Amino acid sequence: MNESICDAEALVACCGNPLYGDNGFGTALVPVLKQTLDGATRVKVADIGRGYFLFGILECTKLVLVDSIDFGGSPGELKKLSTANVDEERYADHQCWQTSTPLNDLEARCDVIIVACQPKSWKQIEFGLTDEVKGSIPVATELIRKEVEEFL
Amino acid sequence: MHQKEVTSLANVVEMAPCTRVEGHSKLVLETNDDGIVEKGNYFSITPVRNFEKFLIGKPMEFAPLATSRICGICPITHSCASVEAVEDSIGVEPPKDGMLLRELAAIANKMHSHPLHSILIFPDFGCGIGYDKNVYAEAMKRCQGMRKIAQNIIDVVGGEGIHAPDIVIGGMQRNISELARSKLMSNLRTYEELANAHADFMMGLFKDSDYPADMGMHEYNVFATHLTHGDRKAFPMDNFNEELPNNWYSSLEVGQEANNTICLIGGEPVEVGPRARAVKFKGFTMKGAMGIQIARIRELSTLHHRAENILDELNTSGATKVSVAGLGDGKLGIGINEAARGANVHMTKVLDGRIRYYNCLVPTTWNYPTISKALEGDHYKYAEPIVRAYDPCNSCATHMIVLDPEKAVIEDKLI
Repeated sequence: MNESICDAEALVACCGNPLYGDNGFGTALVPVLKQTLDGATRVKVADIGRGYFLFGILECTKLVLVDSIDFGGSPGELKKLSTANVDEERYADHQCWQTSTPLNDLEARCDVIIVACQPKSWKQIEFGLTDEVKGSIPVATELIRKEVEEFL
Repeated sequence: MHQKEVTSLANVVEMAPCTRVEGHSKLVLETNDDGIVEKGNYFSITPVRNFEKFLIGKPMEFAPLATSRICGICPITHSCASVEAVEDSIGVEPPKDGMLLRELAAIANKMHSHPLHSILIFPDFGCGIGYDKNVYAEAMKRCQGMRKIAQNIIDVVGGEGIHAPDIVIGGMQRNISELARSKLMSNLRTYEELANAHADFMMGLFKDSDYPADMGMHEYNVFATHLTHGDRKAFPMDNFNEELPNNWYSSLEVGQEANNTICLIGGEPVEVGPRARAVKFKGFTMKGAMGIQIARIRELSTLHHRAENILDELNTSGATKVSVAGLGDGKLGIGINEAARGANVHMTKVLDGRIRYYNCLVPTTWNYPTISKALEGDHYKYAEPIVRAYDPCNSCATHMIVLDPEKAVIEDKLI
């Protein structure tokens, strides 16, 4: 596994917060993906939390964002999204740019895809994933492995 | 988008939310007819986050994982302070090489955070819209280059760049290789070049600014425990207290709106952060908002030099972790990490491997009352630049709950 998120050719950036129920989907995938992709020197798997302020310093050619996103599916359903699906006003506030801005900048020099999992519950503070979301981890792992296959 | 409100009514100026800060905060300033602040109130309006409460009853290993989520900019300082509080409570002392690596990760956190802070304050010094585009772009690139190197250090040393899984109770999960050490050393030399150029640029901005030289002054003491890491022995356990904001701010209305506590040493506010560290350990004498800006820029040199020394001193074959045999008997443990914004103090009591008590006295908690005082005597138009010079973080410091004398929670709405 590559040592740095800044130098990896392919970055699997797992978003989310394990303190918010199914919002911790990405975080829960981190150890599984690290095991699955063990030995891949051109790929890095990272638990980035919200972490979007890091996008400006990435130099990867492929970014796979993994997140728990309400896209209107059934709980645990997986869907591949593009940056065009990211709401322009997502996380917009008075003190920073919205998530879509650095993502759009990054897309100019990098292939960005989003692997989304439909959450069932993301209450604050709630620990652990629901069974539906937990059950999607093996399929998500394989989906992500295929996305970075050319870097393995 | 949130709309910023600036209102002035009967010589009270309110700004909410403050801009270019992390989290949400508010200024309520009582001014004279010339706009000079006579009573300053700076406080958090970020919703209360409840970390100290939901940790109770959880396994001790969960504390550093959870508290690293307190802040996305400085997760490493919370991991470090948390594991060290737990280690103190259960009587575990990590080996020397583990502590060196932990200090290196925490230093790298500051090496990434300080340039980010510079980006935040560029517009306060005219470096933004209307500034020379090429010079501005170069300055931004330097900051991003420094952040990239610092993130890489955390990645290598901590296992990941943000929520570092290798910062564990008992030390660090693994040592680094000789190859990694030589790569990091080489990167630090690049960092030094960037930091020197950045310091020259920032000092030029400061010199050219028309801010009053005495802007943001106060007469309170500084509090710092260590130049680069943290020292629990320096914590004045018998001389500190944490008060409710209702008792401290200039009106009950402000106190009730504030979601931060007030931390005092010897009954007085203190300043924490880069200037505090420089005053305590390097004989730095400059004061006020500009003193802090200069201390922060100078600290970059202290940090990367200490990082180089750590890599020199590190035995890459040495043990980095001891087994955690003790499960705790409820003793109070303290962990302190000198974060980018100042002393970050975590306290815990671990009993049979589970958290029984947890408290965070984070840098901005210390700085709120100090900043409030530092605003006084200056025109209110300088209030936000003063806040950003001192400490533009709020989310970490939002930890207030309200208890009645029997310790029952009486203000559920704040939790």
